[in-house]
Amino acid sequence: MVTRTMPTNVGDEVPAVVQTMDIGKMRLFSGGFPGAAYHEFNKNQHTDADAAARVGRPKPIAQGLHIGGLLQEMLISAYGEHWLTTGKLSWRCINMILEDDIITARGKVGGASKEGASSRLDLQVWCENHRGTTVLVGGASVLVPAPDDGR
Amino acid sequence: MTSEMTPDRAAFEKLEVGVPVGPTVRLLDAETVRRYADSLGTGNPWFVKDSPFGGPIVPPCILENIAADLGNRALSQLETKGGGLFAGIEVEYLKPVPVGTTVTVLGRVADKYIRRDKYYLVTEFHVQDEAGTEVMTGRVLQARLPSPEQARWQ
Repeated sequence: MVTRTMPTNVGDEVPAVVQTMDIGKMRLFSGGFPGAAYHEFNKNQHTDADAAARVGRPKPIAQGLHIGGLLQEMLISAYGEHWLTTGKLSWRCINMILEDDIITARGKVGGASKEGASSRLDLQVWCENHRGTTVLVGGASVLVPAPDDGR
Repeated sequence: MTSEMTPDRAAFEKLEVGVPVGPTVRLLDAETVRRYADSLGTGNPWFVKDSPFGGPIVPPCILENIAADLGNRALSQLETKGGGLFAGIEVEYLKPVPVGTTVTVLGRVADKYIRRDKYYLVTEFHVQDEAGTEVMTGRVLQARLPSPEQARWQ
């Protein structure tokens, strides 16, 4: 089981997820489809320095959805089954993520409203790199049991 | 730049909003799922061992990646020198997908526009499991950059 605490109060921070975007992870995420075996990868700007250089990148860049996957991991860890059945997520990539950037996915409860017998939490979510630059920013919401459920 | 009718601009103009893209049908087997789970680096056991849903489930980002590929397909006629970037997503999670499921991802070109000389495409998508139940729905936003100088990093 994933151990989680469920941040439900306005102002609560969601426990962050931190990952280094090394070339191994980027090749797994962005080099696979269609049909590549585990250790094979297709060459593209996310998996290969030469391919990245051909479109002007200084290094391979992580795919935006790869970083979005870290946001999901953060939200799955925090809200578990609730996230996977009622979660909504919206984000924009505002800066490129370079190979070996250390990315921290963060979130904070910004509001809560009653929705039937449950409570819908609204969250601010974002990712930043180790230089302190925000690379991805957005919002999320999830239905969780209302605080007085089961009493 | 974009007022010139370059081959990329002409290809972009030809893209019709509303036309379907896909579908893509994909078996999400244990090896594919392990690959994505390892790419995240979090060691989440729900993807490779067991979950509260009665077995391992697929990381949602796999489904989003398949959906994004529909957008790439729609944009495949552009050969921009600055390549492509994934710009954003709006997604709703409806039902976890067990490992071993064959999913069908249906897409439609929902919008397109040019902003700051970059080409943007919005692809709406719906993911269905083998029973035809919708498990995820959303929209992906992808950009194509006529020049490498249009990309930025800090």
